[in-house]
Amino acid sequence: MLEQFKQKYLEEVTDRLNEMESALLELEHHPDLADGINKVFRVMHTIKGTCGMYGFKDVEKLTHKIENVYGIIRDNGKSVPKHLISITLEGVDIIRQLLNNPEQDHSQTLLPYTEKLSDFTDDDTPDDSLTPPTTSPAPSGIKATYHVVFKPEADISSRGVNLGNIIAELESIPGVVTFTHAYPDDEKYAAKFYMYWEAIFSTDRTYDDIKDIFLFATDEVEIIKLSDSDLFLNPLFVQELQLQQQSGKDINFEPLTKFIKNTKDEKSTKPTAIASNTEENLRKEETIIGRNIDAIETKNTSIKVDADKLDELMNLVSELVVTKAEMLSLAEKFNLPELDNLSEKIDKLSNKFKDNALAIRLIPIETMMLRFERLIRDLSKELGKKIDFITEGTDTELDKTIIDNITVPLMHIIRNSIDHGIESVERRRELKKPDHGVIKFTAFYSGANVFIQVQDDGAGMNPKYLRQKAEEKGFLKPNQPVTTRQLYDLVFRPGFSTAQTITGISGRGVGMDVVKQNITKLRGEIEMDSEVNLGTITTIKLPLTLSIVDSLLVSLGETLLLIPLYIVDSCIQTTFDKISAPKPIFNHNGDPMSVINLRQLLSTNDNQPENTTLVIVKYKESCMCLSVDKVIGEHQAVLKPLGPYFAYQEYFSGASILGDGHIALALDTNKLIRLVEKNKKL
Amino acid sequence: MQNRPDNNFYLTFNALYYPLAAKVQSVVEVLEKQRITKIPKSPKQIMGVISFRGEIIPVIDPRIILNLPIQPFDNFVIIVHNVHDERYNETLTVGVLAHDVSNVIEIKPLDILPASEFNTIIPKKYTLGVFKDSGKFITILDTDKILAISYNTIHDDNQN
Repeated sequence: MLEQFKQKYLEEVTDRLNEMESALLELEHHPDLADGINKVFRVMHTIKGTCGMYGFKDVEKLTHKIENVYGIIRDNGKSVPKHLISITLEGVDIIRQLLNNPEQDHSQTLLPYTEKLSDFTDDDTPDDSLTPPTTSPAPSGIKATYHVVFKPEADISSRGVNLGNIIAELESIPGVVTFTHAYPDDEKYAAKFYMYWEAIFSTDRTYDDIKDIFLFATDEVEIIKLSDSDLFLNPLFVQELQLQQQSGKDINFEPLTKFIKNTKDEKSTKPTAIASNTEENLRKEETIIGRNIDAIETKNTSIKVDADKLDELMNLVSELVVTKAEMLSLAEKFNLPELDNLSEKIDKLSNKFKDNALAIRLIPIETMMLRFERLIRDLSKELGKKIDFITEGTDTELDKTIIDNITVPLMHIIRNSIDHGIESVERRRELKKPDHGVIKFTAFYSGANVFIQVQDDGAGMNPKYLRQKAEEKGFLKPNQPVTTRQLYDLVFRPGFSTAQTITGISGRGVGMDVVKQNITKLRGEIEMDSEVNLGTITTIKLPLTLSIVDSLLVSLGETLLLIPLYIVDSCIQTTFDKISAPKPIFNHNGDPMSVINLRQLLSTNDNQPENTTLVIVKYKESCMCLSVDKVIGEHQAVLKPLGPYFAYQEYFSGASILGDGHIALALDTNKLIRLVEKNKKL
Repeated sequence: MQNRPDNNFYLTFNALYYPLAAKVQSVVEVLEKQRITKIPKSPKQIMGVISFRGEIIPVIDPRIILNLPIQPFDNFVIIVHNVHDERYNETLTVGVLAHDVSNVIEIKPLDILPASEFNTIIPKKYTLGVFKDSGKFITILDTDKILAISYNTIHDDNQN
């Protein structure tokens, strides 16, 4: 029984440790950030208070020590010394190890570690984990009023949660009015503990602090902020509460509302409406009191869903959208105002539904960044290198499965950049480069793909050296002609390592081939480019089976085409006689641009009209014109693959079903232009 | 699988004026006439694509593959099949153009004759046999083979 809760507990602790880790990384740049110090303190405190019951005695001791250190810093209003951050991060790793391998004897790591920590405590506090729970002092003395409903499940005690402690802690809040209720003797409450509690109190504690009282029972509690002010200052409010308390019934909010009215939160004025125990509500509450919800913290509340179910949902949504469009056209045809209204409502709802269903599958790349930042920080310290990590486009969203599978390969690439790419400070000075090396992480959409690039300004790969290595290892015969690109591609071959010295970090000849395998499994591609002493850039191209691409919808006779919006510069209406022949060139404000006549290229049979619209698209460094009939508008395209039957065609990266059921074909503009350019040369 | 009762049921249809049948199990749905989106630069037998249950699926004109005479038509239906693709070992969903759907009938294995040039104009390799219904010969198509082959030939065509 306990085993099952232990798993859940470990997940929760892992999330907490992640939060703490990101707080620490932030503290590194702003060592006096009170929020960060508090966060570390709180995470350590809550883990300390709970890990004992699952038998993690070492963790209990360790978290106690770290908590003490941060308690001192916080209470004295000091900032966090730089080297303490490294030590604390190390502590996070040790805690993870302790949690993952509790059987192992960790005294070898623990003893020297605690010694390092004790430098930061002025006097050795007795190692006593039974110290009463400390709560962080509120930054201000302003009190807010909360309503808490705690309905524990029947199994609460067997899960190792100490109900008595929770109630005691709740009742220790000064001025609290608690209501203890018992369920009527009925089958339907069988899954519940036989009692439940309500409490109203005002406190200067933060929402998170209150939530922490109910740690490991958070699903069983609702915490609702009634007011931003201390309602207990009003004697009439207290009187009403006490009256109700004597009645022994659930809190009746009807007579209380008039006291709460002055709060801004409209939800709180209707307390009956807030009684739903959803995470959504809790999260809203958090926002109201101005706490930053960590991206990681929100993930706490996520559930795992089978990907097939999501696919099925997507298909249903697509069907709904098409059916809706049919209904809209019917409503128009019969001109019934009632039907019009109704179909408009359904239109709005189904749009929201569609957006939601899409968003479920996609998560921003941002979620991987913590691991990369930590990796760069630790490794550069270890190797004595100075590295700045720059990210761009981390809000680019990718299918969750892809994100899950791309993180480890990316870590390997970044590790290579740190280890082999960026030079030591001395070497960089010799080369007149700035002391700080730069690793740049970029993500962006392109057609039906997401590109991820990792770029460093380090030593780069030397083709001569690659060649020599390849010949030594028998990958190449002496004098066998190869292009530089082919040489770079050798890096992905199993057993090819170029590291001059093998370090513990990379350079063992396993890695890039595995990276490539993993990316190929995701139907992606990987490519490297390099320039000696300028750096290396690794580009990963990933498919987005279910991503939305903002596109320009254009028509060509009956054919509807989608051009990715990010590539479009502008559109110009013109006539064909303005385009010079035989080489189709359009003179755009004195800037000659070559024109691709899509009608000719795609050989659609309908007649060429006199007028045309030129869509000016960016290609490499310059611009190109694509001639189409009409621009219809913007469209958020959900790209669907055309499937293996169309694997032969080269111009389309997929298709999208429009609201009215029509299908628009997504142009793979980069490929299309490349093919046209190639044919020109032939 | 062999003993499943619906193994003996066949959907009969008109491949634009030629009587044909296909195993009911492979048929997913019969769709009304609808707009088929052409894909530029496609081979003749590919009519285009339609959206089916949220996915994009190809629509095939079987007459090209089966060497049937091409006659103009106004109305049509699309019979959506699931076919097994051996090359990729996956199931593909493909629409097949037909004039109309006639019936679902049960044919006992004993009543199925081997295809020959006397009872069908369809090349033998694309058939599972022929049966007689109301004095008329109806050819049972091997949809797996036709659609897989059409798909393979598309790729071969492209080589030229």
